[in-house]
Amino acid sequence: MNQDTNKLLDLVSKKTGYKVSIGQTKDITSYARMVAASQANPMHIIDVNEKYHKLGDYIVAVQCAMLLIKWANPEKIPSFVMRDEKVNYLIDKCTKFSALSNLPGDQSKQYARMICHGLMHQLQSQPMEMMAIAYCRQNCPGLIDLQNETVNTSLREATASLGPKIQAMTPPDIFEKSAIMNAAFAINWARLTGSNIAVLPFKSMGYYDKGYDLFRIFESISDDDPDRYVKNVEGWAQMLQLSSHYEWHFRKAI
Amino acid sequence: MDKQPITFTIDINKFDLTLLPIEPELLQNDQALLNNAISQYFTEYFNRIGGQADIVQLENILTVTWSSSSMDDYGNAVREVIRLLKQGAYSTAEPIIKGMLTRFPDDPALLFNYGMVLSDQGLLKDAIDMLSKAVKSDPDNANAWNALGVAQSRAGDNEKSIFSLKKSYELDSGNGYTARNLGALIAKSSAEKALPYLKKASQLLPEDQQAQYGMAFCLLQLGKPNDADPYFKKAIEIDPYNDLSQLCREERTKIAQTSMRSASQGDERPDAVMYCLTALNKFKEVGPAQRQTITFEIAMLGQSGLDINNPTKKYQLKSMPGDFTGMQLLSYMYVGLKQMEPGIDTGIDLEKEYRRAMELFRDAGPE
Repeated sequence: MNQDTNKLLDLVSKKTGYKVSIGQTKDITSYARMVAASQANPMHIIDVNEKYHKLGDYIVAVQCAMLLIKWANPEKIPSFVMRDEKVNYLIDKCTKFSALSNLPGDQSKQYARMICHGLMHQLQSQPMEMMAIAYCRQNCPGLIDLQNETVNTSLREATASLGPKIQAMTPPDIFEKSAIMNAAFAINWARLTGSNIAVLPFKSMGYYDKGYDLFRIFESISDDDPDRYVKNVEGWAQMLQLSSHYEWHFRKAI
Repeated sequence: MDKQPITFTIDINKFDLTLLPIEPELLQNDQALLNNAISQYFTEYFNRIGGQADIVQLENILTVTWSSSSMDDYGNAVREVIRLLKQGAYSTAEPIIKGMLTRFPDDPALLFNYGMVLSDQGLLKDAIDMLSKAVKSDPDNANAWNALGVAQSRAGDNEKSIFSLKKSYELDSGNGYTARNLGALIAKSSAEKALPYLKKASQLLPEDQQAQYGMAFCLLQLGKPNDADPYFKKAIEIDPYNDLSQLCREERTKIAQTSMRSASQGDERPDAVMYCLTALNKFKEVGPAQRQTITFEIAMLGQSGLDINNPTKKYQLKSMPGDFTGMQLLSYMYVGLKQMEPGIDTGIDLEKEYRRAMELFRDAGPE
């Protein structure tokens, strides 16, 4: 295993008091699945998607960075929880979108649920991912090539969601919010690497400026602030008018 | 440092889009975005290298004129283009390399790396030309001699290939790939002369299937099947599911049969007769479904070869309790296959033993 990855695994163990168990899985579509330790489950679990096993060292490192960020204040570990009544309202609204309302049976509802949950997931995960990417860029020089490959793959997926087929099937409000968050993600990467290629599609489709507003929120919160993850999500949610759609649950580490 | 500029042109439609962090379909549907992204890619590419780059785009053609300011810039340019080759972006790297070779036709790193790509693409005449220039420019480069030898071998010129590979081996005898390639070529005319190279390759490359197979096959040609068998076994273990492994399994079966027959001097093996008889009784007892399960389990187990000349009971099955020898399982499998499909060619020569067991089975009569 890469020594930078080992370093982060040690750091997580010291900081949180729990070791990390690493495995592989076929059951997910994302890079990895992480379950943070708790009293009932006294070990952090990171399962890497088998499809991306070649990127495994970086994927584990970035998940460790996320744990460190989330556990910055062991007295107050945050969990993002959707408010069902609000999200269900969003889903109902979405179901009435013309391109979806013509789908047979309950497919429109299922699709609407998928994109609304996807949007909420993006709100809670993208700021964290950006922080973890920046952390690894700074602290894991031995993982730079793997990071480039992984993030470029993520950016290809993010820009794929700008395509006309997805746009036609997504209510404009949801589409725009998602594109703006992706733009912020691309801007962060451009800042870290000096490469501006990834922001070009967002510029050409008009999402760059609002994405930059989200990035400014991200940038304005100090790395040393133990609540930066929560503050970041709240800042983004306010700008995207999603503040009422979730709540925070906090717990103590031990 | 020669500061004359290097010029090359790139057809935007041939640019390798996987180099960009943007979904290719999105680019293909938006020409302006595509042009912009590729232009930006080269701007950043030459910013990393240093020197001065002028990029002009006319319709789908991008013309780049680049001047280095120092040797460092040129070194960076070579490193970057080799990185492109290693990423597999040949169509993007090729015009840049050609442009660089126009200005620096003797650069050994460019000649070597470009020659290897051409060789892998099957453009052997051009590859041999590039790699010949590479070894001329840097005669002590063992890797370049090796690559030249491989390209010559691919082109069917074994004599020149052996010369190049021997030259590479003289310069670096610790390169297992050179030893493997050289041994494989020499083995075509003399297994005996090839053996030292193939032995070395198998030691230097313990996880290389070709190296293990090469050694095994050479020993087989030298009439040493029992020495060859462990190398075939190792080759199967390295990658059990490819064609070469299948070939190794077939060779192992032949070796096992030959040694089995030579041990019994061509006569029936009484132990195999008894095992076949036990199998006949067992299958009668458990019925066709369980017979199939047992037979297929043995077949799966035997994919890496069963050790049929070892009397130790070292095998276990999930479908049948007990410990078994290799010959015992082979006999069970043979009987199972023959009962399921009497005309089947099992690839195992236990016909005599099976027939004798059938006679005994019939003589015993119905239970």
